Amino acid sequence: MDGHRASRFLALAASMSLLLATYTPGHVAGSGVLQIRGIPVAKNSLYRPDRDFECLDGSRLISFTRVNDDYCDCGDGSDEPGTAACANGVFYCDNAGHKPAYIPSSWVNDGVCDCCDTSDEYASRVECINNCNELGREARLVQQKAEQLAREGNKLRVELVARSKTIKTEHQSRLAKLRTDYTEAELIKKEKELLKKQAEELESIALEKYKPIETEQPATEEAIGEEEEEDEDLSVSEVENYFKMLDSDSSGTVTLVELQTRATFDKNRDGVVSDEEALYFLGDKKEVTLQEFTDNAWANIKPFLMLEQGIFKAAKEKGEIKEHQPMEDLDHEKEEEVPDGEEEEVPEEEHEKESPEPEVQYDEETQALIDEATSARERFQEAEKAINELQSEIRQLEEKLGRDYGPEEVFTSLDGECFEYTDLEYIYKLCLYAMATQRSKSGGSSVNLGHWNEWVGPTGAEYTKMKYDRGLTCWNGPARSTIVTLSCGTENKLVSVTEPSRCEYAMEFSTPALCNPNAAETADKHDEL
Amino acid sequence: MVGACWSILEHATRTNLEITTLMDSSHAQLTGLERNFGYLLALLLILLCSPFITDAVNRDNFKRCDQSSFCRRCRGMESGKSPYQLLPDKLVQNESMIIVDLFNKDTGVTYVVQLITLKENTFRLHINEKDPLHPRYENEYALHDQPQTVEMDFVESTAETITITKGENKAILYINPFKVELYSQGILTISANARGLMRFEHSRTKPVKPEDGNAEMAGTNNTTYPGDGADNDSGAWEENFKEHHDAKPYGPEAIAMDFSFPGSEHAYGIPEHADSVALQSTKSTDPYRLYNLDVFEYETNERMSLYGAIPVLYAHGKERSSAVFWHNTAETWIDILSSADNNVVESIVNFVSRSIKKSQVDAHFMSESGVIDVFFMLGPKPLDVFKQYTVLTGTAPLPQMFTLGYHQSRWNYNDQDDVATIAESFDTHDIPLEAIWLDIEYTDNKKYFTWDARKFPNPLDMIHNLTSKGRKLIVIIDPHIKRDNNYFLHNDATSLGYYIKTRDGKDYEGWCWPGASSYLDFFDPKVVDYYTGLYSLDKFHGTTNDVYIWNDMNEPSVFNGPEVTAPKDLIHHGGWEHRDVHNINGHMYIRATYDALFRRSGGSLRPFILTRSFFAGSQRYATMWTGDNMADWSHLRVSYPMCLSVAISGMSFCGADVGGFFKNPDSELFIRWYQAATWLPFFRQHSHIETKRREPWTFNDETTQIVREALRLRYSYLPLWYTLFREHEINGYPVIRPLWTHYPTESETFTIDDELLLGDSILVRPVFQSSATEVAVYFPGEGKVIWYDIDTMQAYEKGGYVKIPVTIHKIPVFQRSGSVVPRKMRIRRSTVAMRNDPYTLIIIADSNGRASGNLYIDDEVSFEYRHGKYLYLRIMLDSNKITSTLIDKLASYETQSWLERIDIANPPQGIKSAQLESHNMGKVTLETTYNPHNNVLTIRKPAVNMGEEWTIELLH
Repeated sequence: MDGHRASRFLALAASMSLLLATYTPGHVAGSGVLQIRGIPVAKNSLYRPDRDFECLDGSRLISFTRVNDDYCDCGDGSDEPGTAACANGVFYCDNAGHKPAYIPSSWVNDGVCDCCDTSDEYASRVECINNCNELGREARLVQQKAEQLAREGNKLRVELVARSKTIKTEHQSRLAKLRTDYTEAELIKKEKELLKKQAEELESIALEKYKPIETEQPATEEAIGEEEEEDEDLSVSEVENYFKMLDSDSSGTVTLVELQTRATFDKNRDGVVSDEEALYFLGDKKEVTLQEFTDNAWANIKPFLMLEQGIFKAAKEKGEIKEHQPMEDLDHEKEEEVPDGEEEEVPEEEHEKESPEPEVQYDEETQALIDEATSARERFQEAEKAINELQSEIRQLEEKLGRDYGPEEVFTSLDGECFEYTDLEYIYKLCLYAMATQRSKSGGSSVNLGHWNEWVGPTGAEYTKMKYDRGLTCWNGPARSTIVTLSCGTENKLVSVTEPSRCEYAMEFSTPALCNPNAAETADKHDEL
Repeated sequence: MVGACWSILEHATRTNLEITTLMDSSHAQLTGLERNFGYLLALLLILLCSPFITDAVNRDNFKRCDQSSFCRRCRGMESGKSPYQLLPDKLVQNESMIIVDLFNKDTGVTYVVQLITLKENTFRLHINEKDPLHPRYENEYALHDQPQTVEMDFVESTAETITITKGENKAILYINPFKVELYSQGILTISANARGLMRFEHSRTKPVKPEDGNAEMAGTNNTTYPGDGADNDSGAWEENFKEHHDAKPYGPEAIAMDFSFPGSEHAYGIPEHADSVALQSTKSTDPYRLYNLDVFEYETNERMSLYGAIPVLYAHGKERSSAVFWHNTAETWIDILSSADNNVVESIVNFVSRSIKKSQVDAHFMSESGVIDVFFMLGPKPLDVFKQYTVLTGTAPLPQMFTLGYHQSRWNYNDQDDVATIAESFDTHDIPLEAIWLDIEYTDNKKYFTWDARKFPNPLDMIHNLTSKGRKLIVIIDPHIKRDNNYFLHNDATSLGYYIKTRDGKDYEGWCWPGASSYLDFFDPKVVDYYTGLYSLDKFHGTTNDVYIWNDMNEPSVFNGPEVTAPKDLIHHGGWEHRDVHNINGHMYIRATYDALFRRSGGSLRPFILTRSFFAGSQRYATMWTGDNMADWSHLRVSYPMCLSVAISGMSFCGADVGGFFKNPDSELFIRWYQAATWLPFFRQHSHIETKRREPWTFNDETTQIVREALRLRYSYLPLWYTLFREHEINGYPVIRPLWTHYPTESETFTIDDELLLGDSILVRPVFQSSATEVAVYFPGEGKVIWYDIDTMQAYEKGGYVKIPVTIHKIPVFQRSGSVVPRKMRIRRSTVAMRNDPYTLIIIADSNGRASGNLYIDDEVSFEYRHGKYLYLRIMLDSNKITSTLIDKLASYETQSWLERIDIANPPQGIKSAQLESHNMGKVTLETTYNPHNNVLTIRKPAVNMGEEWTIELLH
């Protein structure tokens, strides 16, 4: 746990080795000198039996007989490198055949073999066995394997980097193309708008003569019509009011973010309004105008609003909730529920209202004008739709291009890739830069363990840990979150998943992306300290 | 662990298997339909349990006095109208006991009164029916032995009284109305039935519903007596609470008695309550309740029942201390009238005279069944009366040293790798650790004595990994047994008839962690024998002698039972109702576990058991903790009074879950909790399964550092803790003590419970508030005692309250002038590694240049000390000479430990050196250094073995 946090002992050892560097070896007084217990040969010059010992912090001068005499005289513990007398001391073990090490003084003669050369238990009840050679051999093997892995992985990493570059270039060129298309599409839209306007003007002039006829409708029907209109007005103003409420920055458009602040749109009740959820309500758009909102989004929003206000009938409520629950089905669902034709989005009630309206018979000329206007409107809507689609794709690409893909943007190629891990009970799925989920092996819906947030590795190794948060909220607890720890491996693979604290998950992910021999070297150095 | 609703919810939502057990234990596989039912059930429970989600105790789940028929009847007694009268012509006496009949004028029932003189200024009063229709329950497990009687000096009878004299003590029995007065040194100290609230509901047959409505007639079969009114109570012969029905086949059988303590200012004891040490008046609240219950998310400042019950009540005034031990294992309520309440009455009565306002405390004990059996302990000093109580109920046997170190627990460490990683991290962070604890999830589906083989495939390897660093494993074993036909324990218990029975003789079935569960009956010696066998290493696979036991849920906790416990009309071994024995149920369980662990090692290793439920005498078997507390400041604060209360009630070995069981502490609360827990006997961090990980290094570097310092401080004082635990075993003195223990005439100390004394030499005042920059420390001793800050050795000479500045790094802790405290300054991974390390003595000379203290040393694990293998040293400073002498000359122990250093605060002036003299070392000159900044003289490395007697002379 928390291996990145340097321990006190490691920190101490580090400062000792700094000391080591300051006093260069070569001042060793002679080979006949008794080696002082608990210090490296290189430090012998500081411990000279022929003179008084000065505590390394310079605080005191003591007789050399008091060095390693099992009584702590120096505040910095430097007089007792070989005993457990000083609370803050460190003991050096040479560990010939393996790596030298510093251990806390309190581990000296404590009945536990800590140094592989047994030097820490020189007066202890336990018998330690010198296993430095074996350990050294093993360590070198491990080291070799790690190096080999890093080399092999590095080749793959280079490929990943190359692929990432390609993808990035593709994205960039695609983006450039989209932007050109967008400019073009805007021109087309303007043209279609103009055509629509012209056609509609003609249409409205042509319709003018039919107006009186319409008004001469029977009084009763008129009353009904008025009532209907009133109804429609009401709902129009309801839509408008609701739009204004949602448009919290009064920008004239409702955006994804504005939707995400409202719990109403938390379809799956996980405590978070995800992008997917918000997109569903806005008809797959990131931003809608009042018109789009009325025509398109309102149909999706209204049932949830009613649900929230408690005016929904139970039977339907049940259906709605059930339908919207499984996260996995979301995409599929979107396709189903957001059909292309906008007319179809009109709620059923209105269909019913429209159908009994009396059909007026127009003369041929007028009908032609109406038809022309209708098709102009359709073409304009098509143009508008094309522009929206372009806009959304541009935004997606821009977002991707703005993402932090690590050194040499190596993670670009892994964006959106998904990996699974199965333990005794669950199947876990990690989609990089998207989200982590958990699904019971025995079936059921999947649980969101967090959305991609950011890189959270320690300074100098930022790209070793990813954080996914804002997952499904735990009962009486926090929203689920996941920390993914990445390490070098020849394969992109989800290696393990654990839940160290309830609702806080830890995943280990191996990837060639981290097999960088240069980076590996620094990590190794860190280890040795 | 937690109460009912929470857990059922947990089970229903998290694991399918448990859902089946809720529905039908015989199904192993679930169909989709059943699972859906499970979720539906969970949903339902969420709704039902919603009050729990608000983090507060649900009072509706637990009875008030007026909802309990016997409490209602007893509390309704009018004072001054006692119908009881002695029949002195039937007086029988032997050398330590008188026996006399007692008559109830209201019912015509005759009782037998025994008054017995016991050792240690103690009297026993025993009252039972002369001819009961059926025997009444008398518990035999709380007392550690038959109390030792002493011969009476003489007995005098007059027409009004019978007087028994023994030494300085005297008991006077008044004939009519019946009353008992106890005198110590000629002063009236305790009187029983002085207010006439005694009640003894005799055994009777259920009245046949009479047509004329006269229930009394059927009750007593004697029209000349008006009766005791019990039969008029609607709850006399059956009682309902919420959806639970209590059959009450024996009808009303309550007993009650009032006790007055003239001259006392406060009452103490009767744990367990999350309340102040000094008991508060119950004049306008419910009485204190003793009925062992699993109270979910209990709150502080409450007299509600908790997990344990010790019916001993102390009364203390400036002049003297005394106590009553109400020897009864049934549900008990206690009303307290404080001095203040009495003064109101008195000031009206004595309006004119207005003479001396004599303080008095009154108590009224009310129990549901059993007999009246009371011990009067006459002190006269606080330590005398604490000792007198442990002479009756026993002391705690000396625990192994490791138990006093630091324990790391969590519900739950997930698997064996998790355990290894946690233990390793303690080394990486250089933090000492004694044991890792496993909560219920280590088992195979909550079947105790089994392992979850997926998470813990190699428990022996895991244990070895711990023990190789001198550490232990502690696993939970609970008393509920999963009703699962594939579970050997369930099958054995079923076929052998070892479960507690319902009224109609069937195995009782309740809900607990495993779902449907039954409960072994530990009142049956055969069950105890069977159960203790389960711990043998060839039966409980995957354990070793380094595995110790945590017994939880032993109230017992029954999630779907009345008040989350067993119904009162269940039947135990011998035909006794659960009602009769409820409060000692948990005690019976740990008694068996103690026996099991003792047997497991062939009697060589001292057992260690942590229990949640306890009764009088439980100190003989187990350590207790304050149960499921909460990560907030009020729960940190209440850990002190709660542990002080149980400590003076015989159970010194007390602790609270560090950091709080429920919810997450912030780093400040976390730090303060460690600093406070450093000075409570049992030191364990534990937390709920829904909390964040909170090992000492999980906050930030500063927090890790401060917690490490707190733990190192704890370890450095372990020689003192260990010595105090040994002294507790010898003389019953609590290890931690309220201030009035040693300053009994200082009335300011009587209500202080945010400070404690460790032994008589260390004074601790933790920080119990957020963002504190100073705390008010009360220095007892009225200026005659000087207190020294243990870090700086700064002296505080003024008595009374002083504001002491604090930082986050430490809490105020002081050592008393005139004391010698042994320490070990080399802090290792665990106490096992420190066993042979040298000692440092901290001596604080008083104004006469004197100081003294004790040090106890042995092998720290075995019972060899009971065969004289120990060292008990008296260390004294007097006339510039420090001496170490063996208190027990016959005892000996070969230790490798030696004397590393002596620090003397307030030393004689002008000392240049010192000379050690001992048998083996002869005369050795020692170097001394004087530090003028803190006025401390240090003697460097005497190096004498601790097993030797020695003298060190300070030389000018």
